[in-house]
Amino acid sequence: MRAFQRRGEEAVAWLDADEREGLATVVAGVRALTEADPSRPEGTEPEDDETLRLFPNAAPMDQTVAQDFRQLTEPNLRALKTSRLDAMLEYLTHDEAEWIVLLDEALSIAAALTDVRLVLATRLGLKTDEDAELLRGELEVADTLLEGGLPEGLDVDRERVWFVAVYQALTWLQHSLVACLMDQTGDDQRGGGDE
Amino acid sequence: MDPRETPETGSSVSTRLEDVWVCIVWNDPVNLMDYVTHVFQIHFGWPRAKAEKKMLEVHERGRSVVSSGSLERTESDVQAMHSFGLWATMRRSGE
Repeated sequence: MRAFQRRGEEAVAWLDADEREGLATVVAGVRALTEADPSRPEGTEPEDDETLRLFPNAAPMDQTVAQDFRQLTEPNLRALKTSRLDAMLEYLTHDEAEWIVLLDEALSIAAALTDVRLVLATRLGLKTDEDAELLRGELEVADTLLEGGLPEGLDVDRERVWFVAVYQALTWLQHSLVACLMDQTGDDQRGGGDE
Repeated sequence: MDPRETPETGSSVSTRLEDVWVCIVWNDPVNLMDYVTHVFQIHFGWPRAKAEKKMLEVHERGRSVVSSGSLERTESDVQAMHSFGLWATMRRSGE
């Protein structure tokens, strides 16, 4: 995996086939949460924490306002989030290692990366900035596991470790993508031109 | 500010404090500082310095009021924040 780097009017990252396949599975799972749930009456809150984090309560102190907001905005928000995740899936499911994102579309992709990270963070119980620090420790275990170096018989929740690794990879990708965007703003201030 | 089309009898001002809504962005451990700054710049049209200041307020104080106005305008700001994955809520200004 290579993080996003600026190339003219594009940001370009690089993922190998296994990385793309792993991410595609996770992203497809999140995409399913952004689709309409026919069993949930319009305007009511999602029952699971992951969907609720994607579509949070807009007015915890005022149920009527919260319900009106949900009815008014949720269909549009769903459609937007789904289409952004689809743009990510389009890259992840094609046989192409270079991930080319036009700078004009970079914020949409950064938003989709955020949605996937929000769902994973909820799954991992990440609630405070301190939890985020603790996650870094888990990442070292994840690295060892991914390299196949973890001793047999060690009691590790492999699914959790895998989600930690995916979360950190997505954080790193998003960070680099936003840096390309900020870089663009910097260019504008300097009057343009590549180094 | 939106003037009320049918002001209640006895109300001498067109916009009362309770008709003003605020959009609040809350801190969370997922959203990256640079990303939040960039979202503020793009959505609110703020210069980088103001966007950074507001982002730091969210990060350090746990929340920040990012906009105020009519119900409709505030709803639209909260919706935009949710579309970017930021944790935003709204309430009446006077509460």
